[in-house]
Amino acid sequence: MTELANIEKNDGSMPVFPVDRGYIKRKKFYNNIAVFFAVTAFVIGSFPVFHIIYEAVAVGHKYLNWRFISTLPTGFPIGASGGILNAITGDVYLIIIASILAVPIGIGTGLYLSLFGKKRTNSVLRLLNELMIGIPSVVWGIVGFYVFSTNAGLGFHFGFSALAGGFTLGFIMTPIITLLTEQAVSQIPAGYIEGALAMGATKWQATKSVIIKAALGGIFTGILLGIMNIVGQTAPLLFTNYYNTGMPTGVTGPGGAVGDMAMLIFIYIHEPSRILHIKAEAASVVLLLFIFVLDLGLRLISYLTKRFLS
Amino acid sequence: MAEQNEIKAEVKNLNFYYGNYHLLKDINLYFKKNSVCTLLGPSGCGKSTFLRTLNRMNDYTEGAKLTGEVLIDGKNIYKKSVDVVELRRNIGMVFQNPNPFPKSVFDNVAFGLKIHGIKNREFITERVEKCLKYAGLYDEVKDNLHKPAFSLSGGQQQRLCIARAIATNPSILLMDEPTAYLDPASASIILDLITTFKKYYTIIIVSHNIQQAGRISDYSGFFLDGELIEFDEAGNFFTRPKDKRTENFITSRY
Amino acid sequence: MFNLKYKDDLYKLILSVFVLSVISVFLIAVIVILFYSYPAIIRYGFSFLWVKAWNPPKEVFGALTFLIGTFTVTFLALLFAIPFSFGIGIFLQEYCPLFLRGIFTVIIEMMAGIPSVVFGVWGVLTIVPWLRQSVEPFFDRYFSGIPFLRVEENIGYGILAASIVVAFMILPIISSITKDSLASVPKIAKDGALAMGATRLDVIKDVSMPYALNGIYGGIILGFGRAVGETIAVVLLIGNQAVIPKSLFSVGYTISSLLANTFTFAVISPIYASAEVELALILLAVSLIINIVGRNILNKVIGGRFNRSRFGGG
Repeated sequence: MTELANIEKNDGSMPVFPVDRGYIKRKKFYNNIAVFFAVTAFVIGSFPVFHIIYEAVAVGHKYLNWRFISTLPTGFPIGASGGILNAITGDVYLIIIASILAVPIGIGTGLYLSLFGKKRTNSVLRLLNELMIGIPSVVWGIVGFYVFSTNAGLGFHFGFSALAGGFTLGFIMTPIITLLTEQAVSQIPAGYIEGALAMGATKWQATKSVIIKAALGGIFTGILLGIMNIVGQTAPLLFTNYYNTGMPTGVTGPGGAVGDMAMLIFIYIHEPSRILHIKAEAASVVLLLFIFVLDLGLRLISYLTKRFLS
Repeated sequence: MAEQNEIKAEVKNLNFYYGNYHLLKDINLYFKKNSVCTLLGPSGCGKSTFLRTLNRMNDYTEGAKLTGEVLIDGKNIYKKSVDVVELRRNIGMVFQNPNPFPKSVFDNVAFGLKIHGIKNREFITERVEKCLKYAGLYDEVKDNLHKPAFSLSGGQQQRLCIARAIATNPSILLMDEPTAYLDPASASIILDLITTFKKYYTIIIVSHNIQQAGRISDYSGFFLDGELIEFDEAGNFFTRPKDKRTENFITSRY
Repeated sequence: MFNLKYKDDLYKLILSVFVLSVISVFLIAVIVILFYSYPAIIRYGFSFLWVKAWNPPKEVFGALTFLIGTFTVTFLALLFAIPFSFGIGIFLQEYCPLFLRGIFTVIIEMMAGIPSVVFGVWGVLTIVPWLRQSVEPFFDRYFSGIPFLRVEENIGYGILAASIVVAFMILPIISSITKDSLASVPKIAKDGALAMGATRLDVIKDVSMPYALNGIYGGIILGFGRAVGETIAVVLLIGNQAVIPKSLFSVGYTISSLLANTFTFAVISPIYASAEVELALILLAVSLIINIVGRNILNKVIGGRFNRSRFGGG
């Protein structure tokens, strides 16, 4: 390659500088070092994903059976025998209650932003929405306590219950659904909606006939993402729900308290009992499995949406 | 000045595949030293891909496969022993959109020198000035050498990219529709630049503007669907095309 | 015609109700926190921020211990997470072969979805024993003279354990935003550098980074916001003792872990509860500021592009 690099002078006034092979070698070496660091960062950085799953399965595998998820915890300390049915039931309660609050509000606000919002109101609303996403969940817990749980002063006086916990989780879920709904509507090709409006349809008719269908994938993504987020929440439930080892008999008051997976894991790992630690890991596997199934659902939806929209 | 007839680069039986697509089909052509060669064709005909095979920019395209030879000064650049960094120092490239780096005007031109290990400030300063003068930009930016390159107009940015490309002393300049996004006045300046530059460089330009190509070329080639339909001296190419398809293109039926 | 217009007005009205609910949820959150922290704000004033003591029976409340704990954990977590996130972002966007990029990105996104409590369990069963059995004895033997590295109690729990786990939790946010910012660099600019004989590293250093840097700052700020409020994993790992940490291996307490552990008892006494809500107010204020700043930066760089890793499991 010498001939290639050491070209003749093109012009008397442009001196040719020699090829510094050593420099090129060094520079390639630095590049390889950068590759090495980047790969190492990825390997170490993603290590917990594998190790968390591995450890949870390795420690908890002997409880991964139907009995574990279909029976209530018993024994002493509570949970030493039996399973996690209370937590699974409670999570179903919480997801449903949170969704009752968050799904209509989230979708409605998302639609308003994309259909009626003026530029200024939209930017304020978007800001509020993103700020709500950023509020730490422990702060939501305190808000939820004063709004829903407390028996003194103002508030709904639901007690430590599924309704109080669920609505607090709904606060966390709402902005996520709003964001995803708005994003989904904004990704509909402009012609679809304008076409419908140009034909004399009202915005309501356009919503019914075009927007909901086209944005459904995005809206579902928002709901699933919201559920994924709240099933992992522990902090807000500390102040709004009382961990129940049995089945709830209602949704408010003392009988309305529910168990939930995250809190079960938190309580079990706190106990100085090996068997509860093992059960915490087994419960982690169940929780992770649920989250990863939702994750898979998300990816499937976004894959299908992309295929059918384009 | 070198002899007009010496061959600078030659392409033999070049085939290029991307996945299942056969993008370039058996290309054979040569580039004479210190000449301007324009490659014409409708968009999507593979001419830009072809240009990028000449400095191995397609190396980074995953799923790409290439057979055949590209000889520069008689050496096959696709041989394992070839150092891409050195190869590219010898081949300047100017892109469709002006693409200055997010740096000052000065640092843009100095970039090539720095990445090839030149640290001598005086040498760099002198070279930057010279390249800017060659690109006809010096007078316009001499007071603003340390302003960000993005503050220049589109035409100025493109000349900056040319100055940047010649800073490392290449012997070949590849230009991928260098005037496509410029206003006619700026485009005209660049075309004049190209005509003066052929004293120093072998220039290969991809274009779909037939008038511009006719004005500056010594040689011309016509690409269609990945095939090189015709390649000839510009005089013959534009006035007496041998192939019907070339004639249709030149008379703007595509 | 009247009918059509009327229908849309009704539709708008119904949607407006939802919008008002969102606004009121936000306002309720802010008002509740302000209202219940008011007694403490009035009683302790600014001294709340620099008083060290936290003594509920004597009604002496100062946040300093917890502020220091919170920001120590946050800064250490960022310190650990930033280099790795950089590396991961650069790896995924610049070096990773295309056919692996998708699956590797999914792995990082999966990490963002792992709940806080599961990270906490992992910390208790993996990181803590590792620190106790390997790291702390090592530091005790070789670095015991250095003040910030002294091992006081060889228990594994403490600032370091919490910071390591929180670092892993914010890693997906920062690395995926780094990746997105790098992806927003125009390809043609990178091609320009490559065509001159630049290596990938040259391109990253001289072309991509100047473009992407602002976005990366935004990612770091959001990571900061997430780390500040992190609760459950920290409760499980930090040791929960109201002392100002003197070394990497000290135990400590953060605002959020204090709230998680004591808020339900605190509500028995109004002023105790109020002091705790004032701590929550600090968290709230920090999160609002952080998110306003981070969001503005990010919107400029990656145009508010949707990034999944921003909603991790709490």
